[in-house]
Amino acid sequence: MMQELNTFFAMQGYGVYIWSSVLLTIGILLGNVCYARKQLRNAQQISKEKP
Amino acid sequence: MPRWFYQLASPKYFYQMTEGWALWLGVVTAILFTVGLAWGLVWAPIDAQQGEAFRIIYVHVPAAFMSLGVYVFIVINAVIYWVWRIKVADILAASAAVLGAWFTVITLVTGMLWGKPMWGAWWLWDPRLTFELILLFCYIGYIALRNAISQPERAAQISGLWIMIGVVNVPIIHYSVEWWNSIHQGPSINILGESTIHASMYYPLLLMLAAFGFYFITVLLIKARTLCLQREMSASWLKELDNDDART
Amino acid sequence: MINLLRYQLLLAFRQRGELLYGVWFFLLIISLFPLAITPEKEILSLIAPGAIWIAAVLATLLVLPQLFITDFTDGSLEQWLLSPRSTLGLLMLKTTAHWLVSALPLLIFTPLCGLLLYLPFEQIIILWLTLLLGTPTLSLFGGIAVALTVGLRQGGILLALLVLPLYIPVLIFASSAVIASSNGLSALPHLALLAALLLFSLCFTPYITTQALRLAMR
Repeated sequence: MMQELNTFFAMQGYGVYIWSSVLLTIGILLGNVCYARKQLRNAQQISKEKP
Repeated sequence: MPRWFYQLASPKYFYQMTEGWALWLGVVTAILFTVGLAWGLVWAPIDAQQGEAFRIIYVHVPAAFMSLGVYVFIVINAVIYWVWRIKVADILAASAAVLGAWFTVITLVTGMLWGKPMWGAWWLWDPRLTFELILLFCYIGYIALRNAISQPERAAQISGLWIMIGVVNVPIIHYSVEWWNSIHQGPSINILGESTIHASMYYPLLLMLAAFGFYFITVLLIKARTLCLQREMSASWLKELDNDDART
Repeated sequence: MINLLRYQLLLAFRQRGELLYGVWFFLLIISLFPLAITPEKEILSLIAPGAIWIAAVLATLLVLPQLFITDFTDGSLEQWLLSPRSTLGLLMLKTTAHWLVSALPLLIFTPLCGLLLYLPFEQIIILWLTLLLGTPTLSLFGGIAVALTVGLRQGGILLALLVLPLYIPVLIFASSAVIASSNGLSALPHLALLAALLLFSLCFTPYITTQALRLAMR
């Protein structure tokens, strides 16, 4: 089982490239979502404080 | 036209109407991403020539498609604002810009990570990657222009005019880059290998495309709602926020 | 009309020293290439057309803000936009004056730079033709960007960010013209494309620049 998992992650030696692509993409996309949500919360906060 | 369509044009109504949308769209996005990535990375067959490295396509191609699609989206909104002065159109254009730039970055970086095992080099001046790089420059120019102007209306008009000019130039740039490449390197390397793609590789690609699309709409909504709030407030308050961190 | 052109040129020539700044800058950039890369003849003659064109683009970029900035700061730009005379005509005059001031010196010094970079004679001619056809396009496209960014902070670098992607097709067609002639092929199709770009920009940019000026002045 561990052997199969290792083979899967190695991806015929291309593993580094594939997984870094996927992780980088997910990272950038998640980062954008979090940043956008933080900005929205800030704006909502400020709009509540101002009458 | 139903009344809500007209109401969408006003930032205030747009903000109120889209109250819970981002959450549901986000859920759909997450599902599409999970299924699409799992299918593409685990179950989809491997390419005869490229082996497992082919799987990068499931991230690279949707990002490339979106990078161009978002640019067109911005242009359409710029035209709508130019003709009808609909504020929400400009808010959408402003919100989409940074996202489009990031999609371009993802395309370029995953393209490099694909290129290294395939072509043996981190970067090749092949027409598609070169064009993508120039597209990134176009995005950065648009973002920089928007950021340089503090009043929203002026920023909308000036950057709108610029992006409309840009869209005329984008085909010229595309054509000239192909031309340049054919002179220097001969027939360009076909990134996708065979031109007709097998069905079992096609569906996960479609799923990932949909995932990226839904992702774009989700984050677009969040950013647009932020802009609606910011622009609704009085000008002096807006200047205050301007100095902190307000971009897009 | 001729009087207006003369007036524009007079304004530019009043500071005669400043006129040549563009030329010195051009020569300086050219000199940087052998210093930064290599003084070897084969390599320099290979990169010469590209280097000269890059230097021309940079020199044009530097002179571009002068298209409108003095008129903007002393308020005469607004007067021009309000005047009953066609703004289009005035704009074409300003652009022509700008091109005469910035590109003409470049054209004069290009043969010298070609010699400095070991460019063969036929290719110098082709290069000269590409500059003749290409620099007006640079001025015209640049005019739109300057009109949009007149008076903004970070003006210079923002201008470069905006306008350089637009210059890329001109650069590509120009350098491929010279390379074609170096390979013994005809440079005519590339020159024709450059001419097409020029005609295209002549048709459309004046109107767009007027619009841009009106926007920026509001």
